[in-house]
Amino acid sequence: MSYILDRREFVKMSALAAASAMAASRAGIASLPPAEAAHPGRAITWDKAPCRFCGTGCHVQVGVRDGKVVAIQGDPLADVNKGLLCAKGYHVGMALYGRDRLQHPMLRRNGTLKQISWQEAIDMIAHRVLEAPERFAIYGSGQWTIPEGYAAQKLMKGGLSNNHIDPNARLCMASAVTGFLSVYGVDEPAGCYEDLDRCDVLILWGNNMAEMHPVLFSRVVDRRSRGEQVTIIDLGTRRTRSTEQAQHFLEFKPHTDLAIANGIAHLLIRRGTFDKNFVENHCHFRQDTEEASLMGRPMSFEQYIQAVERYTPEYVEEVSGVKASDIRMLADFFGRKDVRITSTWCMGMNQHSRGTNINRLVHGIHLLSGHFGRPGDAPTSLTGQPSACGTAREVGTLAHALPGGRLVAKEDHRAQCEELWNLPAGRINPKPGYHTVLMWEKFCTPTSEGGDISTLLVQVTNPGQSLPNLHKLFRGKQGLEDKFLVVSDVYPTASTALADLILPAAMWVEKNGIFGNSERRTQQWFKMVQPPGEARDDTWMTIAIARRLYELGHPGMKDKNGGFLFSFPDDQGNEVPIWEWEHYYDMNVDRALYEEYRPFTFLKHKNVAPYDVLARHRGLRWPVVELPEGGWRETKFRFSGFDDPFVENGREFDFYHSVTGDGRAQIWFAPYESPPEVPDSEYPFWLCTGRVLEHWHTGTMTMRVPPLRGSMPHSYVEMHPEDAASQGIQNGEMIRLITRRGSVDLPVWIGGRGHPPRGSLFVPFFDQRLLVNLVTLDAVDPISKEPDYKKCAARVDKTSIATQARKETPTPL
Amino acid sequence: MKNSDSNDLYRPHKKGTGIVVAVIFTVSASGFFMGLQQTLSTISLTREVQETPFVNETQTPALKTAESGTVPQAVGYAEMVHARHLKANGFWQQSLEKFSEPPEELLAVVLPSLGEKQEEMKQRLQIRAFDGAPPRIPHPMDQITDASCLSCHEKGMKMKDRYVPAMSHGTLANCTQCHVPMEGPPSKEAGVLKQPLDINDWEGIQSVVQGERAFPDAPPQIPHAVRMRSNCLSCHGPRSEPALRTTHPFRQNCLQCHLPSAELDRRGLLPGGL
Repeated sequence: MSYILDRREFVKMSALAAASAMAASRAGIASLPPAEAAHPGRAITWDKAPCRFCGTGCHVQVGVRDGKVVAIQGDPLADVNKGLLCAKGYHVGMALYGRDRLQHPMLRRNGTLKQISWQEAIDMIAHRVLEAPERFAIYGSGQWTIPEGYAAQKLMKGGLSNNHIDPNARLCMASAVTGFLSVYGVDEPAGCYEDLDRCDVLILWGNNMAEMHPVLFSRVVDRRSRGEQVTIIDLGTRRTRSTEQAQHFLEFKPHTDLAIANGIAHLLIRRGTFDKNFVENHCHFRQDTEEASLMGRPMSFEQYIQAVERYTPEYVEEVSGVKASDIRMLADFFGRKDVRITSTWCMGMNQHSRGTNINRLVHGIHLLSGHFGRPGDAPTSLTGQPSACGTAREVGTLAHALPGGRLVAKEDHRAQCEELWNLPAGRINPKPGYHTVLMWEKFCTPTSEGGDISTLLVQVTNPGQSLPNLHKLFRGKQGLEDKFLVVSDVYPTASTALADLILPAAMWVEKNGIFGNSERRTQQWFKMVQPPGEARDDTWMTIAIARRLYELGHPGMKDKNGGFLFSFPDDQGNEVPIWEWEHYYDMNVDRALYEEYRPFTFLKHKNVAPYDVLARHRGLRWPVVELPEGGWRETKFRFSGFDDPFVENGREFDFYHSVTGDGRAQIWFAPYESPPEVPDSEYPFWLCTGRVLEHWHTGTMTMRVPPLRGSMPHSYVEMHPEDAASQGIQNGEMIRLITRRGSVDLPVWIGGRGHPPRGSLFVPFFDQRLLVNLVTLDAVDPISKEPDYKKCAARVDKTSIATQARKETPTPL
Repeated sequence: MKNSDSNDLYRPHKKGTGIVVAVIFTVSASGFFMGLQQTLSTISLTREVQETPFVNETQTPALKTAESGTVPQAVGYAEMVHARHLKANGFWQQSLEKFSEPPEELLAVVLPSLGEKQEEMKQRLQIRAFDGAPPRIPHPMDQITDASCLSCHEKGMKMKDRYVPAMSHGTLANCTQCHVPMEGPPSKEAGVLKQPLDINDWEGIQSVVQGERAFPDAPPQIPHAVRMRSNCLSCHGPRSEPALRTTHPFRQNCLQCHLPSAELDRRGLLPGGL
């Protein structure tokens, strides 16, 4: 609106404005307190860091004043989030200041915790390890920084010849890893977030992106505000906020996504709308062996056609409940060459007892239809943890892996690591260690009954809440006198509740760090504030334990020349005693470890950028190569000739780590198979678990952030109103949720954040007082060993809640 | 310069009263007749509901319409939660279009005292963790969709002495990504499950009451970042809390006199720099 004023009006208004301004200045505004009022921002220093929470990898600007984080802004120069954050990201600084931060090492003796010194704590762990090195295990995390994971990896596999190290990422994206490996021969997505800016169709495979990866979801839906068209198809088992933004909601019965993917393949083949050129030049067909295996066996195109033959739209409708016409719609899109299709998925496809297979199939339909490798055409897995890709996958902190995409089972891979680590040949144990579920099962089983893990060190994660079937896999530890649980964390958690030794850790910008996000982006940040009390870096803990073992004479702590495994010189060439906390920051240990790790990444062409280059950028996507004219170049689209420097010149696509060794990707067939547990008359409901926007992982950080906790103060069970009505259950009422493994009491939320269909329940897992994982199933995918948290059979009981049970105050958080 | 149109526009004292009276009359008269109509046929619950244009499909169960001469059947409690039109802001499309706002008071004298300004800043902190944090939603809302947010917050509104701020930034489609409600799920065990929020020692930067001036009558500098606050009128316009309101809403080009701070905006960050 613009105003046209005549002169008289203008003079009148100006006079008025001037008068009010003068009146205002007389009203005492000039005498405002100085300091912040007069000099906003002057005392604040700002620095960049990736957000602490999810795998999106947004960058924030962290404002620090007087040694404390006081402000957070979205980083406008960050390519991932372009200045935008989500509710968690804006409040990430508050996660440091929960009142009950752990500040001192604590030892549990006769049931009570007693403060001890760091020296005692490290000594105790070292002695237990020395007693039985093969019974020691480390349970790590996709929240480990790259140097933290790398140090733990080197200590275990290179030092102790022990492969019992696995990260919580096993519970989160192991199926995505096995999917990528079996399809492309090498892990991690080929595309990047730019696909979200360029796609015409976005398919959410059981993925509530609006709440779980909101910044990425906004990258898509905000395109509509700019007048762009993008079709969102939500394939889900319940209505969510993502559904609200989608044009199509295809509700399927749990586990039947395999049938849907096969239905699309069936139509592409039958109609001849698959990309013949792409398939002929760049693909092979493959299927599983009798017993599930990572690489399976080849099949011919004719066999593939036969295999998908039975997945007619009508058959798929019968199995999945998705209308045949909707299956045809999906196939129509995939059959078109003039649209670009991006598929995203996260836990829905990964936490699946056929997780590897559904990952293979979704890659398969993208390859079959040629919707691959052009900006906007991509099958993209999203990760939930900030460095699941960087630390768990790239550093290979899994029981079967070695850094840089190597495997412990491969002799040449072991030899390469021994050489890079300067270790005597044969140091690395060729037998894979225990994966997560097995590791905890062994730890919770009495030693006399074969439970051969006796000391377990947990870093940067909370298995006491996030493991499935907690009765069996975590609480079973209670009463086993010879088992010793060490937990390093920042707050008291469900895990520290059973820990024998608690180590207080520094977090996020209280330490240097490097994360790797979902789109292959490696991100670095510097320490900005001091940790509280005696809290220390997890990398330091690992190195201090190694040093103590070295002093106690463990031969594995020495390299080929007798030097300490973690020996780093300063600029003058003198070894810095980084195992002493007072000297830990005399040098940049992160930089030293990362530069030692970097050569490991070259084998699988995952070349990460040098530390000093990362320090100047808001993350760079590997492979990062040095340009002949100087400078470094990142890669957005892997395997695509126009962008990937490792693709042979002149080729449009080159899968240069192909399973078949000929530059081709594998299109897999996998059948629909029934889930391990299905509802029956005794347990008539499907139970699905998941997350909410406000809380991250097990809520140990976000539940201590008042705005987030105020918005979502406790967990709940979502239920269809008719199911509730049939049992006389009211909104907000406490009910007992029962499965074959146990029970948990929860308030019912009807018509809330998500709307499940009849016969289906949903419970978020963030609330440690209402532990839904006491009742979830521990069935795992046969290849990835990832548990299926998304489906088991349950019933709800309104009457069985004794008043007594409800009066028991839940564990205070 | 003589311009009769503009004279008409800016003679609120004479015409304004007339308009206000006319508006009040129209609203009350139509309200009366609409009310009559409702009681005669069915209550509003049974009226056909117009769905939001943002949502393709809905799961609103078919509502039973009363036959003439009978009492309309009430919606069951279980159905209510699924009946979108019964939820918070459910009627936004119909009712707000009819709502008539008083004219903008472009010439109102705005002279808040320091105390009033400080009080307003305190109010703002109730729903913000620190200066620059997205405000939380201080009213009930539909948990699954934010389709109705724009109906009030796109342009902002004023109802008597209540102000609905306009969005301070351009349209971003996923409102609840940053703005979270202040209330969680309902629970009969709320006493146990909703524990006090006094659990954190965070001390974030606070909003500044007044920007720095070079000399007493100089225009104050903008004392906060302008990122995500590009629409100055959201907080300082005629439809904002009086304590924050500009004395001269008729001036359109705010940044002509009030300068943003490169430091606060984190400008001067070069690509590849820190």
